[in-house]
Amino acid sequence: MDKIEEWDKNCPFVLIMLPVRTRNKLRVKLEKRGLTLEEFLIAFANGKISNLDS
Amino acid sequence: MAKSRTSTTKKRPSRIKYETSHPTVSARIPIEIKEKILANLKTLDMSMADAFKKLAGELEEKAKPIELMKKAEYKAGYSAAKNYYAVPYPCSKCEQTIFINTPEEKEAASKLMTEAGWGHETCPEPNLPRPTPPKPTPSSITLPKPDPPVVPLHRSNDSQDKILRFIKE
Repeated sequence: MDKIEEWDKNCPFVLIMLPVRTRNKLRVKLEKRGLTLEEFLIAFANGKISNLDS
Repeated sequence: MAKSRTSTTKKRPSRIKYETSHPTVSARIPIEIKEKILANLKTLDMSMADAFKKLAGELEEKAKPIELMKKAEYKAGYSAAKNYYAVPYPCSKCEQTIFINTPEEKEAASKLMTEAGWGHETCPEPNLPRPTPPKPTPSSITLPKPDPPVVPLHRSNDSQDKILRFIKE
């Protein structure tokens, strides 16, 4: 197993197809929180973001 | 040299249209984090796309199945009725709560309530004289009307003759 395959296995892609409007709103919301998508996902996984509404 | 299948497969127009209207949002995260996210989403009863939609403020509330709603409503009504009507008392032996349910329990409760002198708040005390109803005045007394006179049935002589003739024949 080469390094790329190992990387793919340990850090898989999270792929979601969202409508353009939702994606744009998501970008704005994440910018407001000062987070990237990866940072948001890690924070959500660790239970730091429980309320998705605000 | 053989080409990969993805490069040769032509996408359907509907697929192209969908992909342009729904672009892929992607991120690379460690597999442990992904598992944690999926577990969190399972507890929230949401998919990953739902979570992003909710964050973006685009998620519409899904209608719950009618059977679940019925069960929830029944449960709420049952608990409300239980709070209002149920009469609990502790067991004399194990002190667990029992609700008055059987006819014997109801009879005993009724007896105790009667002995303790429970009654309506608005009713007067039993020792106080009860208000007497007003005596009827002569003008208010109405005598019953006499029966109309009994009128004996009268048969004419012609009809009597007719009947006698009919009998004889």
